[in-house]
Amino acid sequence: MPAVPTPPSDPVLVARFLAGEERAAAELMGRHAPAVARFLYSAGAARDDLDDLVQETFFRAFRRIDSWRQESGFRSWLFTIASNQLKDAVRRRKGMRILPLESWDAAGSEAPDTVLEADETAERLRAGIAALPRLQREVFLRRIQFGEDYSAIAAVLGTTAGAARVHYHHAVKRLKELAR
Amino acid sequence: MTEIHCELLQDRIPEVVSGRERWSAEEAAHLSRCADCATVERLLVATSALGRDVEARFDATPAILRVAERLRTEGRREVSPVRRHWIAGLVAAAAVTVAVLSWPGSGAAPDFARQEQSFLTELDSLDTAELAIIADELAPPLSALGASEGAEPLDLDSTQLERVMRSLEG
Repeated sequence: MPAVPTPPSDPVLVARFLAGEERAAAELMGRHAPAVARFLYSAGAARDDLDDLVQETFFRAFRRIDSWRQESGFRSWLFTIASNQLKDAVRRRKGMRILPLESWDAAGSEAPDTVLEADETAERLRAGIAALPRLQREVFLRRIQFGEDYSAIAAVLGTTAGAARVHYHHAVKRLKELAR
Repeated sequence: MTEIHCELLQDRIPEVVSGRERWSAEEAAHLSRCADCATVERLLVATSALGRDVEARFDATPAILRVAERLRTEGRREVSPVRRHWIAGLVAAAAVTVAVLSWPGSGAAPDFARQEQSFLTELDSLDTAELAIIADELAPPLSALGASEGAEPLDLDSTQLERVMRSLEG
């Protein structure tokens, strides 16, 4: 039985890109762009803006790829760039986050069993996450959606594991209060 | 019967939600009767599911083509002259701020700290090339202000400077 070839790792693809192999960039994008889109969407980006934000994230990433220190995963590093793109986009276009926090508050009138289950409520959750302070939002999403541990999160956000844990708990506390 | 602490249990929810760990029978029983833990679990389950459809349906092909084209045509970023003037203004503000903050016994008044925060926010939006310009240009105005003792931040490279900005943002 022939061995299944192992896909090249991210560092290998990055090295190939730096050596001038364009196809490596395409492979990295194919591997990570959907997760970057999900990260942006969960952080409050509108669906219609995802294509542009993902494109800009990767374009910027490839232009400064020599600044990726490999202390963090490539995807985790991309999330940091994506977060900056979202912040800049919100600044340029006030109101880009289409989900005001007030809409989450209305969830309190729903029966507890239905809270956080319907699509409408998922949108409220997205609004709540978008309204969090940036570091709380980033730590919370990285921890819950992508399973990063506090040390990895701390490395990419330039903080300590203890501080990352505090940001996470503040986020949970705030979202929990809104979800009751 | 072991007592279940809510804080410890809630710390484990991400591991269970991700499938890396499982609840014990006692923990499951606790979840069924503790409203607070159940709320956190619902919150984290909902968050772990958020955007899965976006990820599953995202077609990266158009972005791949556009990024490839842009990399071919635009290459490495050159900072425009207009942008350089804007950065120069930030450099001046940064120099004054660092000088005042590092002045012996200055006490950094609260109003000043607020002004400092506003331009730090602007700095946070700069990319690496632009931060490098600031790092390069910040030293002369600071030395002119006689703030050598407090000039350690100038020794930071662009990555370190970015991290400082993020940590100040809180």
